[in-house]
Amino acid sequence: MQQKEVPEVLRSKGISAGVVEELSRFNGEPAWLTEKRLEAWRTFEETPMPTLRDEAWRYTDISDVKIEDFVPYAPSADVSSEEDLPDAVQALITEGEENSALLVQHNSETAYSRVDEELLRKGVVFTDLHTALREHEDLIREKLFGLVPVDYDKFAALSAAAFSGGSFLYVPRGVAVEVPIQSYRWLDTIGSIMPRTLVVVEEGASVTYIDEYASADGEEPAFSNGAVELYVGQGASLRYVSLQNWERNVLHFNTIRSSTGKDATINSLVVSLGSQLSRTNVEAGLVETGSDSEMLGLYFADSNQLIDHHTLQDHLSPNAHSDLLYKGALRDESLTVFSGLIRVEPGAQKTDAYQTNRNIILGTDDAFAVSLPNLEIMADDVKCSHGSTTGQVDETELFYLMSRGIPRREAEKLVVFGFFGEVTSRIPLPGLKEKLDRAIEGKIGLGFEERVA
Amino acid sequence: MPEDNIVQTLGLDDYKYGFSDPEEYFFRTPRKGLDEEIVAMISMHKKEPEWMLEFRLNALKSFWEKPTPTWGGYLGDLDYDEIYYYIRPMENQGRSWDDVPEDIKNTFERLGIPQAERETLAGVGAQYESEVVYHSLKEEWEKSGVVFMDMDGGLREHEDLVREYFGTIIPPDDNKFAALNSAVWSGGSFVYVPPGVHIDIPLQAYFRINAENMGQFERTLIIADEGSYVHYIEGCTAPTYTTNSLHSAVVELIAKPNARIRYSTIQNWSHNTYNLVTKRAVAQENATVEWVDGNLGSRLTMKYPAVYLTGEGARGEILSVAYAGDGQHQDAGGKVVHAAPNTSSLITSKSISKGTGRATYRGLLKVHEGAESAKSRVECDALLLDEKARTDTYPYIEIEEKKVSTEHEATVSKVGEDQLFYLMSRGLSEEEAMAMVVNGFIEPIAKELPLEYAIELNRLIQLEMEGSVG
Repeated sequence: MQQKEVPEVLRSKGISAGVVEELSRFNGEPAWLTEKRLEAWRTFEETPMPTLRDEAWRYTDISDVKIEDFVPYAPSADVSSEEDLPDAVQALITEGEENSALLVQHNSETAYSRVDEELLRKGVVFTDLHTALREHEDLIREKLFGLVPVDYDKFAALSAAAFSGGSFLYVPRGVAVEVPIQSYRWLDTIGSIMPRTLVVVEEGASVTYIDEYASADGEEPAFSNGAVELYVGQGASLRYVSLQNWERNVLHFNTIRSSTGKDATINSLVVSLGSQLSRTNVEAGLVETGSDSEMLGLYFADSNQLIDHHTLQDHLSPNAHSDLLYKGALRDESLTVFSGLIRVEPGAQKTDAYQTNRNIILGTDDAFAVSLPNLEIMADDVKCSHGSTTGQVDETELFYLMSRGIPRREAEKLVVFGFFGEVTSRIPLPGLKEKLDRAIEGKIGLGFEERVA
Repeated sequence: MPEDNIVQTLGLDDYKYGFSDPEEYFFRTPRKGLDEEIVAMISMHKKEPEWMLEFRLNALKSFWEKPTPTWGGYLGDLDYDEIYYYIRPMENQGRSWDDVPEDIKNTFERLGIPQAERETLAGVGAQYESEVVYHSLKEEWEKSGVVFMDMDGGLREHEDLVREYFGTIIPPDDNKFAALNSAVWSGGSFVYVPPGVHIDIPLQAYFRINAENMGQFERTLIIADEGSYVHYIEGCTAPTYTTNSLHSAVVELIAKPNARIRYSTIQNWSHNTYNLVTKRAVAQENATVEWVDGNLGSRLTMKYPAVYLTGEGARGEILSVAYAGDGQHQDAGGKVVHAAPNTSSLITSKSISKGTGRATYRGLLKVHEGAESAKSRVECDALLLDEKARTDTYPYIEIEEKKVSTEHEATVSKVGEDQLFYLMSRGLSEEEAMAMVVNGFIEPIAKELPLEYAIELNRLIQLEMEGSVG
């Protein structure tokens, strides 16, 4: 929550080493972080912009993305109660999951946060990153950039150099948080938003945490660039949800990486519905033996959206289990990319790893679905499989429903809901499920023969 | 003949050790390495028409311009300057078996093209070094207008046909290795099957590299005219040498409406060979193209037989089996492009990795907009026999059409303890049991091969499995 006047250089287009330094000074950060940001900036400058010639970007054309055109920092007004938040944000909150702690990042700044008394008593910490740096510097210094390092890729380098706001969640050993914790990222100005999420769940603790991205409609392009680091300790459990529903003027880049300790569990759900171009890397490191990662994904692309997910199930230890299911629908002239890799490192025996990607193309010949389900197996005593299918709505299913008197349009809707039901039924969050259902319904719109208005 | 006897006759026991005859050459390029002069020399030596020389020189430019692939296998040790790009063997084309030089005959004998098989092998265009030296074709085929000859002969005798199709399926600038082949190609087969002609007995050619540091760049073009059928078999074996060898072939197939081409290969290059091959087919209306592709040898193979389904109702099938032993990398797979309605395809891949071997499936399934009701299925199974073995699966799936049904599945497993236990309880040794499980694993592909190949494949797997247990 910034009360100071934002320096002019942060509010002008373009980023430079000077801007990065000014941002760090403006936030009153320790020297090590300033140095880290500058190092990241150098990495960003040295790393060429990915092109279609790079394997990881061969279908995702970002040649039009001009990072220098974005304003690095946009302030927002602090509010003292939820009622003072923008109406749209209040709607997001009331329509969403019940929460025990809440943080709203409005543009580059934290506008509002609240944590239930009970959580505070149990030692749960939930703040933005700048507050966390002041109050828990040692922990942040140890964990920040640990999973999404500055040299992960060009966008991760930029995130490390120029992040602001963000959230930090710490759940102490053995603490079970029953009600989800939620952060909202709200953008209503031209410019950029670069939040980072850092979650540390200690041994035996459990929590559900949701990052939700939404914005006010705008004409000018805006830029969202995030990094999410999820540490799950021994025997701990984390359910993580990322719900991206930006308006179409936003370009979204995000990297979500987790590491699980011995017998730890992570359930992730990554939902991508909005933005003109959305690229999300989701990587689960099964670092210790017996760990478990469920990875769910749901995407729905319409008009000329490009939605790209790159996933990794990285099995580094024996006896770990991972199960991935990403399902997507496409319509109009959209393009979706799913590239998933199961990597079983040498020595990771008794690995159980599964990966499924299913795409459904609705009422169009102009959509383009790419599916790249990859395996790299370097241990022999493993069970791994993957599957991928792409097709249209099954005519026999439609016929069956229509023979029961359901109009075609309604029948199509039911089939699409059924398609996504395989994912949504695995999420024990009724509020979120309802929100997703509404979003899917909106995407289906008037049917597949007509464009979304 | 009982299987064991056949194996004896074929001399398969010697396969894995390699062997070589004294090197005696009629002509070879005066030096190693590649430049315009060498390319011109090759073309001049073959007395080629001007357009082919131009084709070669343009391809050479593409070769220089194209980057070496950074994906696939490790190519860092491949030194283009350490290779002779053209060697012509001592003797010219043989008219009959008796005319074939004795040492070459000996080589064939050991390779397993014995007299006994010649009766059934209707035509043998066998490539020794860079040139076809032996060649026979049954008379009735000649009568029905079938052309089966080496590529150089094809260029001489059927220049118009060659000029029309050569390099149209795989243009010289397709990739670095296709460019290299286009610049220095020599030998290979040219096949033309006239409309409606069915060739019941497979056309067969054996290839063999027999000179240290020598590349082999054969070029095959098969045209199956409307409603015809041909099965072409290409087999490769190579003796073992200590320095790197390069094999870079280009194979183009054209299946005209209602035609069917089946192309079977088992490569067993010695373990120091780079096997970098481009194979591509076009299937027109209601045509069928099948690739049966077995990869056992070489140090590194990068080969992805492709079928472009350009006509309505066309079908493509790719069966790929790869065996990667110690130090080997088999980067194999297949590509299918659906560019017309009601086309269908099936890719089946089976790979086995043993020791430090690495087997990679790399494939592309593409459905273009308008290829309505395309159906495709890709199935990849990998078997891992050792802790250090590695397997990868990289299937690219690109769908631009909604009325499609595409499926991809892959599984990875090791040989089950219970499978071994069961077989051993029946009195088999662990080694035998393992070989049996592995042979069972590749059975779906082995059964698609002609008998002698299936036996060869099983026997080779057995040899490879020796000493694999304990």
